[in-house]
Amino acid sequence: MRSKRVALPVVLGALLTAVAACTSSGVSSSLSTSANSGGGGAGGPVSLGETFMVSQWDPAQSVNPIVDFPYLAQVYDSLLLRKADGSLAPMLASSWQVSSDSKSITLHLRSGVTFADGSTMDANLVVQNLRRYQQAKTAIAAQLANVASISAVNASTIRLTLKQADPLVLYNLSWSAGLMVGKNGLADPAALSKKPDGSGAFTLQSQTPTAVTFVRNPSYWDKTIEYAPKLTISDILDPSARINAFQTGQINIASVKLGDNYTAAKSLASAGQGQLYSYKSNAQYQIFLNTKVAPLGKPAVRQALNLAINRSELNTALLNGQCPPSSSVAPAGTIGHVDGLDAVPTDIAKAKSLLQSAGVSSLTIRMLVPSSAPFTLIAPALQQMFANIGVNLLLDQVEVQSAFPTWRQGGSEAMLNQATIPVPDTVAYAEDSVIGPDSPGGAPSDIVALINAARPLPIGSPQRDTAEQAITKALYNSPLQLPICQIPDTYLYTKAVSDVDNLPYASDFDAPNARFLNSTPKS
Amino acid sequence: MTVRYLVRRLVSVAVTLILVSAGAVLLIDLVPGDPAVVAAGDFATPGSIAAARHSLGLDKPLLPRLLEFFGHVLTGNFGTSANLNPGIPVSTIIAEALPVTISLTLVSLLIAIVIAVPVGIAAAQKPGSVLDRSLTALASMFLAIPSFVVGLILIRVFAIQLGWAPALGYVPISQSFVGWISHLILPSITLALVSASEIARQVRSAFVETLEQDYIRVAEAAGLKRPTILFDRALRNSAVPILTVTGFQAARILGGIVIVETIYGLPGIGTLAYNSVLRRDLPVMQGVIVVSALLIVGFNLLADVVLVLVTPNNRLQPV
Repeated sequence: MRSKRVALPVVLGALLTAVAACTSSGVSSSLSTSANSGGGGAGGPVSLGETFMVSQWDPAQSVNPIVDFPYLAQVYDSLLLRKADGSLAPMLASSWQVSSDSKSITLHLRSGVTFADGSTMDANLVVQNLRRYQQAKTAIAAQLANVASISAVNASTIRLTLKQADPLVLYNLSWSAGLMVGKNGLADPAALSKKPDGSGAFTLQSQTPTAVTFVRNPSYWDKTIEYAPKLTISDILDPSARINAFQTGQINIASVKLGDNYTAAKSLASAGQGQLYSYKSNAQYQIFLNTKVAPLGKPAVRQALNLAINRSELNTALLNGQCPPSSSVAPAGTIGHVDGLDAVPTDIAKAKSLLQSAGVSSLTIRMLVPSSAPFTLIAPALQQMFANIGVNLLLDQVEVQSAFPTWRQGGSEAMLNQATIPVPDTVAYAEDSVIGPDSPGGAPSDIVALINAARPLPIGSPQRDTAEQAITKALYNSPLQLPICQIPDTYLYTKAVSDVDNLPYASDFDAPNARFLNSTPKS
Repeated sequence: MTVRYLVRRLVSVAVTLILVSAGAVLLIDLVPGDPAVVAAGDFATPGSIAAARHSLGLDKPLLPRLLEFFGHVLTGNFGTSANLNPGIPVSTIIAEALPVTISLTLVSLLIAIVIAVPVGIAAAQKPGSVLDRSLTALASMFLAIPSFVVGLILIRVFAIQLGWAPALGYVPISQSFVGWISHLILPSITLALVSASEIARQVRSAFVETLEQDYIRVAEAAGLKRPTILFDRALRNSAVPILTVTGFQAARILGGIVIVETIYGLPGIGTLAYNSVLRRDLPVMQGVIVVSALLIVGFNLLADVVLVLVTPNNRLQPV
């Protein structure tokens, strides 16, 4: 009788033991230590709560470089460094020159760079890396699409010959196409996808399904900076969970999203329990339009839709007043920005008149909407605004990851999403959103001509600025896509974290490179 | 008789798993969007989409796909992840998540039982009394509150304000028992409260009925002590409905793990399910569906077996 009475506890106990046995391999601790206790400001460990997770460790196999890069950039170095202010600086290449016709780039490589596998960097290894990226079947190949040939000039110099002048190639060498892999990693891509082989400031310590921990690389070539002893990046998708983790000290810096956890973060900052820092990002919320669809191909219809959007209302009512309204494809901080091109004021009467002049009496548009905040908040508001001019906007919710791939198939009429580009440059924007995959209907020939004229001009030159401003004005007067507002990239952090204003790529998209957090210059 | 009963239950489990597996394959054709497009990434070309479609097996007709998937279920091979961890076997990803979810489920169940049995017995002592009504009302309240609300309240009070337990994350038991239990305690209570309410109500009604039986009166007349009557005689004779409802609660707890694991940042099957749906990782989605079904039927089977072992009548005549 006794054995029957204890049957359930015995079974439960046995299962618990089995679980204990199962857990002895694989999963390791995630977020188990207090990150902001005892950190003591600059120089202490950093634990960053983000909204994405690395998919694998081979830059060439990454199908989504935007979300993989923040992890890869800790264990790999790129040829050039994109600083937080947007400028380029030496990294694995100690210097570079662009030829007078802008069709050739020469990179002088640093010596003494050692990879995780023990191999050292030389020109042949770099050439091998870049050629591999060119031949990859992933997005990384597009970053080097304008490169005709790559060759080693000598053991420490390489040359890239371009098909046409394209200064953006330099910027791509500071992003995923510039990440260099060691000899063994190149020889075994299958192993590389699971274990990085880089020369970065950190080495991979542990990885769980929700967190990756890096520790400072003791043999890092750059002895001028002391990086944080430990950097943990956690994928905490739930916005409240990110705030909770911050409050309990499990992370000491958290990514903050508008219309999601911004209000909670602001409250904590106001109560002195953290500080907020916002980058003026070049990314914008935008309605992408497919101009192949009959009525949307008419400029007057697009202008009417543009005039129907009440950007100020969206910002104040739904986006915490933190998303400055914008109708320009080149917001402040972007090359090609034109002062005075403010957000188009809402004008319902004019919008209706434009629709009438275009011969459109009834219009229904189906719009893809990513199923996350703030898109799910903005979309119904846009529905109402378009209804004011007699346009019926139907919303098709799609998973966040599905939105762009689905849109790029060209079968949809419109999409609400972020326009993000790794370089704050109007031509870079145009390559994707005007004549590239994000504009299934393409662009009128006059716009294409303006883009082609601007592309080869050196970045920073007055000629390029003028040429890009011409693109901006043309797209402002006759929009192909409808920008809504400039998205800030915001972080909530404790006093234990420094250098929050020094996150490369934070101004371009909300997946920055966190390697400089809590770094200190060495004397 | 027990063996025949077990065989019947195992056949029923197999049929359930076959139906669930078929559902997992069909689901992909029914949900909007193209998994191949997503797997090919943001900058996909028609060629890379076709390659992704081929590697996911989506270029095959439904029937061969179905048969192939049944084969995969039998061998535990669900292919490799498409988006979450490209190239990593789904079985490896699930094996990493499974201990978290099993830990959470078992600790939740344990807490539910520990709360429910004394509460149910106490309420059954004097049916209609203030204590009975109060406990019944409390149980009804916890049944009515969604688990995510309970979770957020527990985090606010016990993790943030009192600092007694972490708000999120997981530590394997092999690494630290204290770390393991401290990370599980709040999510387990979150899941356990609803189940405890359900089980407590069942314990109460079973005890009310049992305590009115003649053999209990005889035991009282014979001078047996109250605890002996309650825990030896009454509990044993009330076990059938209690165990039945407890078995159902295991499935109910598993049903609530998606929300609770997400709120508490636990890297278990629930989080995996959420991430795989969000990132349209078809092989992981299918693996998670089948493994979740396996867990639920497994817990139900376990409850049935325990029921047979505990109750002599059932062992002779299984229902």
